Amino acid sequence: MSISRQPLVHFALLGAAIFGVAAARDRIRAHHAARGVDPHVIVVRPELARALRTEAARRNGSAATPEIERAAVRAFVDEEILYREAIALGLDRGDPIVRRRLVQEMETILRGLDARSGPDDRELAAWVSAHRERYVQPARVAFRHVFVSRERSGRDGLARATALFAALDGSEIARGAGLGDPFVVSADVPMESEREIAAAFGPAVAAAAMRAASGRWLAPVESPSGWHVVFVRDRMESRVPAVAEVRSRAAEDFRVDRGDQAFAASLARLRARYRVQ
Amino acid sequence: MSARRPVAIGGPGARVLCDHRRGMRTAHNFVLVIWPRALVLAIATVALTGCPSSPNADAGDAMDAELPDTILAPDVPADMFRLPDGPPPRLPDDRQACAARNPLRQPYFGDLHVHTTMSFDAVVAGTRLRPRDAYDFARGRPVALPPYDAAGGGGRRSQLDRPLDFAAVTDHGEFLGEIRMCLDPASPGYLDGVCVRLRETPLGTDLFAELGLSLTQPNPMRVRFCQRQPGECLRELRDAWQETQDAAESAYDRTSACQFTSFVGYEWTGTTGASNLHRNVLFRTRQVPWTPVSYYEANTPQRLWSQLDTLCLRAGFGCDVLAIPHNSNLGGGTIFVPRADDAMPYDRAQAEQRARMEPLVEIYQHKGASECLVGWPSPLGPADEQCRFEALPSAICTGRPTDPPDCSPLCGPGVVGGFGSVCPSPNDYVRGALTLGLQERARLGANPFEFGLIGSTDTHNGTPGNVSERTFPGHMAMVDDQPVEQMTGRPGRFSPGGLAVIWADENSRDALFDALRRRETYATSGTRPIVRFFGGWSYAIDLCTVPDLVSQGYAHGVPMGGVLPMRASMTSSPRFVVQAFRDPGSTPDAGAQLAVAQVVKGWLDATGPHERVYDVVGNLNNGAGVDPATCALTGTGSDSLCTVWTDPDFHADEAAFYYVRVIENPTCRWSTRVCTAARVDCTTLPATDPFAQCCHPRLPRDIRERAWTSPIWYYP
Repeated sequence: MSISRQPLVHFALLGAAIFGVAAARDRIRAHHAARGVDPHVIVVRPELARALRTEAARRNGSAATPEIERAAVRAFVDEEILYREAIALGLDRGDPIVRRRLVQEMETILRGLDARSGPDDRELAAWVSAHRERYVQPARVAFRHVFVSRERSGRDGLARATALFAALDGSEIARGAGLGDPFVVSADVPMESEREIAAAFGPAVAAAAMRAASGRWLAPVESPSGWHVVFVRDRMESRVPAVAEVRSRAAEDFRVDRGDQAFAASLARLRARYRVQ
Repeated sequence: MSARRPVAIGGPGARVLCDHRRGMRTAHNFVLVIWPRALVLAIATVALTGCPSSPNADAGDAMDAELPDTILAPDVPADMFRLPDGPPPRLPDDRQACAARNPLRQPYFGDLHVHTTMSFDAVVAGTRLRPRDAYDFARGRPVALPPYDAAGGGGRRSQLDRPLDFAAVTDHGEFLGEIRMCLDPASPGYLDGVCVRLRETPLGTDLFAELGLSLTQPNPMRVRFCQRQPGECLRELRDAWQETQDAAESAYDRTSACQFTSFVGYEWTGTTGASNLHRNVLFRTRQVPWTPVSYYEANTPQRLWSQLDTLCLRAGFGCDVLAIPHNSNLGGGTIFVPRADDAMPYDRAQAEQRARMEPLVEIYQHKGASECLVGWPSPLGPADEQCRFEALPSAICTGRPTDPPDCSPLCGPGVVGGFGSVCPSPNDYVRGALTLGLQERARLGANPFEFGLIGSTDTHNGTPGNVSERTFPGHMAMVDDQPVEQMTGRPGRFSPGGLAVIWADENSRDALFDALRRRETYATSGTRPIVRFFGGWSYAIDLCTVPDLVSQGYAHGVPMGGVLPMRASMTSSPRFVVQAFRDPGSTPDAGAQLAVAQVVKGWLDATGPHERVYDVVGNLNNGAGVDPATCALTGTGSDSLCTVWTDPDFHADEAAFYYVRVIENPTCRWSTRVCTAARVDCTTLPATDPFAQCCHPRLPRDIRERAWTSPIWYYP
């Protein structure tokens, strides 16, 4: 991704790709000649020299002297010379590392430089709304329950649970404190989804809790381990989260999707230009 | 091959039972276990090449001579890619607070041992699922397992009926880059001999044997191509490791819904001398080192810890990590040895380092249980028969005259340990190591083996948590996709594997990782019973009738994984609260009732280590059973179990550990379903039939699924 943030690199590589990275000396020359540039002239603009000097000084921890600048420019020029000579010799041609690098860069470019800057708020909202299923958050309930253990009560369990419910029916949640048998998770269950509730209570209690109206005790519901008298204290409906909550994930999904589309379309166009023999 | 050093350490329980002799045969057995089909070819290969002393170097001069050299400019330095100086950049690692947060904790179910197509053994077996697919599967989405049709479609559909709460993809850290290189036509290594063999020998057999062998070498070398062009291999490795991280990041639910937690991880696959030393390395953080520390960078566990210390814990970029050994049952007497790399006994700092880096052990997975050695007698009574549970033959054959008759060809003079082992040490097992830990603490003041327990699958299909006995699709792609393959050789003794259960406040990386560190975890053999275990000095004896048992449990003691606080008075014995609820089941899998909850105690007195199993509530022999023909359950058990247990044999001056084992009523083992579906009739089946193992007297027809909690320790 760091490369993707360097438009100059893209520009340079796009140029290289268009004008033939795999070209030999004559093609490079022709290109330079066409643009009126002498391939044996290396232009170092003053602002580049200044940047090289500043960077070298920073790295050396010294003052930005003219000597530093000369050395830095010389290093830059030497590298440019070697680069041009390597291109002229065709060393880039057939080198698998260069090849793969260029292919990767071409793909990055075809995925679209624009996609990396987007989406804006409007696009993002539209994206999330069009892909609700990816971001939807499940409904949740928070509840208290009084547990009657089948193991402790045996055949009397349902009768015990029913009696507890009769005593609690119509009363406040606080009345349920300290009643029943110990369950394996706490009597007060925080905002959980149906799947989370089912992990300890089994599917039947989870489904009943999700269906229940808030603010009253429910008749006993049987679980694999006994009976539960449940009071739903609060609920959160299933919802598509606000865009702000899923911004980074949704933006990434958006960009990947845009990139996939752009790449497929561009590649299709390019394929039409080639013939396989 | 270096000679093996003796490991008789730490008292009478620590003897290695057999004379472990090392040789090339050892390494072939390593291949045998992981991949039976490779055996014949591997033996043929080595027979032809005559036991090369450095199998890495045999990468085929002939191959190189025949193939075009992919390097165009030999004078250019090969190592063109280097890691940047300094630690990786800081990445945003924040998240929303979870909507479901419970200070009395919730059990979260997951799998921390998962291989995908990025693992060398999985890919040659035909596994196609990538890390992202594995996380999709863990979250309940369907996947297709091989075999696929000619167009790459089709396949066997597989889907969890209960998604997991968390998972970690832990591909082998070794060969991550090599595999990627060999499958990318643009890679300069694509035409190298090693890659040609990966792609062109049947299912990669030849290369698989070689890579497996290299992991048994004490001083491993990467394949020749990577020796010549380390930079290129490093680049591929970085690429693969980035995919691991990206997959974990995109699967991690950072919203307040907290529906799924992923961890960045990998497996360190040291198999020195064919003894299994494998560890899964698990990161708390999004921030991880530039590359995984593999067996090539760190060829001993001690070096692994110190490199993780340097590159993660103390690297100053917010990295946090732990390691989890697994398959100690294949450790060949080497996995829980309290000696440093210089063969000297641990000093206190080394013991503390080990306990800090490895707070957990994976006690159960598809290659069997590592709880305790079968037939190892307790001084206080008969051997614990439950040690036979899903034991590999190596745990059944001990090399003693009392072994079953069919052990003799397996365990005798010249037989080697580890992956080839049929002669393990009791200290290869969790119970032996916990005991040894008490002895070490007495010697050093620090316990190197103060670990908690998890289970996982070790799937090589890229399918975390695929543990149902009903729908076992095999363990490794095309190696055992067919029922007859699942029933051939040792794989008949494998299983779908287990789960890791974590008691945590919420389902986030920090909350789960904190719980892993404090060992508030338990292992299951694949089902989802819910188990609480508290230890303290003052619990009310009638706590099982008190509705707020759980808050009392935390308020007056420590949960599983804890160390008992100082005693309240000189006369009291510790009390333990054991509470177990049956797996509440799902729509297709109802879950079985519970039979018994046991406390396993190990302790030290002046005469040495002891162990004892107490049935604390329920009844192991409750008469419940299962009809192998129909898999219908018979008899009854318990829907929940609860007791407050006081140790009747407590002595204040004897260090001890206590863990809980909860055993369910029997259900049909996966192999019984496979044999029934194949219409095997043991009265007429010839011994040469491919399904003969269906009728083997030692192949269990049923399985008593179970949970093992992390221990609670008492130190005087």
